[in-house]
Amino acid sequence: MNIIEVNNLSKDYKYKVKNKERGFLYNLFNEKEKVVKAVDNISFNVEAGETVAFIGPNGAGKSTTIKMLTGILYPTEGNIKICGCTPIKDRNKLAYNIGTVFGQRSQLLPNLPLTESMEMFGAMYDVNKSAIKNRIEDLSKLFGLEDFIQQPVRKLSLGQRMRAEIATSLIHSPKIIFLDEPTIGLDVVSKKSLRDLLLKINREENVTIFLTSHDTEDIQSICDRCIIINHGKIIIDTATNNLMSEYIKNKNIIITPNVEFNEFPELKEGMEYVQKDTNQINVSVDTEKIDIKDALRELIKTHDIDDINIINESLESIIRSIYEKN
Amino acid sequence: MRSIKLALLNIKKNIKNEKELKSSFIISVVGMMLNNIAFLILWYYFGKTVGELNGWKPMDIFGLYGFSCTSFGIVASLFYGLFEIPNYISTGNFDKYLLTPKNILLKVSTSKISTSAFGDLLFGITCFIIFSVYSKISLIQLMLAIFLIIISSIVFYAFSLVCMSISFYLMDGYNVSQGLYGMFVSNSIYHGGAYTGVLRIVFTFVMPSLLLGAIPVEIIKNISLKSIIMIVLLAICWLIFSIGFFYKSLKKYESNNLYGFGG
Repeated sequence: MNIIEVNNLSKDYKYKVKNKERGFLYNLFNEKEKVVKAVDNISFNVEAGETVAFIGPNGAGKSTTIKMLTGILYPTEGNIKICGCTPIKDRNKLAYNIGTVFGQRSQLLPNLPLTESMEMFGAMYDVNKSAIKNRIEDLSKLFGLEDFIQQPVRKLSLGQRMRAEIATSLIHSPKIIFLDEPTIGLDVVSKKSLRDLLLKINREENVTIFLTSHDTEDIQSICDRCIIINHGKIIIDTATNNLMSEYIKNKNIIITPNVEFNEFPELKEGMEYVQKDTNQINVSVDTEKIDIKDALRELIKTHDIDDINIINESLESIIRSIYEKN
Repeated sequence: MRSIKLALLNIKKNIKNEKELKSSFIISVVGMMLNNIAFLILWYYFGKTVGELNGWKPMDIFGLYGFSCTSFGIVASLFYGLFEIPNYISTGNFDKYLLTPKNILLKVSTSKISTSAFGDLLFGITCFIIFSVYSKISLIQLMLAIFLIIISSIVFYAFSLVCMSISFYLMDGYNVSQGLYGMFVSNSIYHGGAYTGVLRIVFTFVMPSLLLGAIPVEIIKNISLKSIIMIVLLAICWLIFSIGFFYKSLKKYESNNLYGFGG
């Protein structure tokens, strides 16, 4: 069952352009409007329980799209249905079905214990007092909030605060959670724990996750599906695993020498030195131009090798090359 | 009804939130009272020097401050989120009020309280008591005064909402809203006797500064049903207009990306 349906969605922004060759008075009365297509005729569906990464470079249109999906912005054209609601018309009804977490914004009361903010959000969503209490207990266990739930929010670490923000956004048991850069600024341990928690709520409560992040580890570890947007258009919509297998173009061969490398012979087309040290060489191989086996043979022929490692291109560089290509 | 319940809960939590920082709370309240006392003394001596001006006596300045500061105190102490609208718009923080259920205007208005406005409120009440004692007002006048404080609070809320909603239309909305709002408030605490002729019409019907203090003081001094009906009707009209204007302006909201979803 589709929980998000987006059809031919577009959003235009208008801004005033001044004629630089004319003076102030002329421009005051003759300003021209320029139209920028932030989102250009996109369509996609998301099924209940899916985990989707909605990614793109800065200015690609992902922010505008998410704001239209959550009822913040009016679309210029197209239709959106979230849990059967049209966001801009049924804003109130939609709010009961979605949770949102803004990585750089807090919705919590800074000077009060976390429980106070959770209670307030519970009341906002018409959850009765005993149900709020039970839900806080459940979320507290699930998110490991017990140690700091009575501390004023401003005294929490960033990692604790993000856990608190997500737990609060789930107080009304939403069907979908929209997350914007949920791991921004967190250390590696906190990032991992937050990703595990998101997967847990997806599995245990079947919450659909719609996430935007520039951290590829978030995408790889949380999301089954990846929608890439650029210049307002969807350029790829595929399973995250497919992205890894279909779009890997480069592999790296790392070799260590028997005796120190003193010479670095010229390589065949499609092969390029990434690192040239006397005790290690890293060669990037473009698999569209040269077969990995041939590249390996070439290196064995030209170098006295002690050990070899072949590494796949990272998701980050795959995504980067997709962005650059488009 | 649920929205009102939520607004009350919001106010309660906000007061609790601010009270956690007790020293800053007390400093803000006392500081604002001292600030107001300085203005009051200035106007009082002005009144004493000039004498009676268009029916206004020096002690009436206490009444003016009583009404203006009390209505300002009520609105700003409980609904300070209203004055943050330009800021919410420019930083994109307005988004969060669109993402949660219940009445948007009530949620935004009660999203913040101003601790210094509690100082204004206390100061206003003190001025009003002094005015009542010196002017020897009757019980009926006292009841009427309480009713007029509610009316002037409604006018204060409504016109402030109009000023703040202008930010939805302009890129530099914050400065325009603050400028207009500043003009509105300043004119509410100037000597009531100074407003005659066109000036009086402008500051009653176009920018209702005189409805906050000057006209209520005049009504208390000379009770007139015509004036009471006029002020009540104006308050209702401003309230209806301001709410309509807010929701119309809301359609212009283009969430700022400053701290937004990223790209």
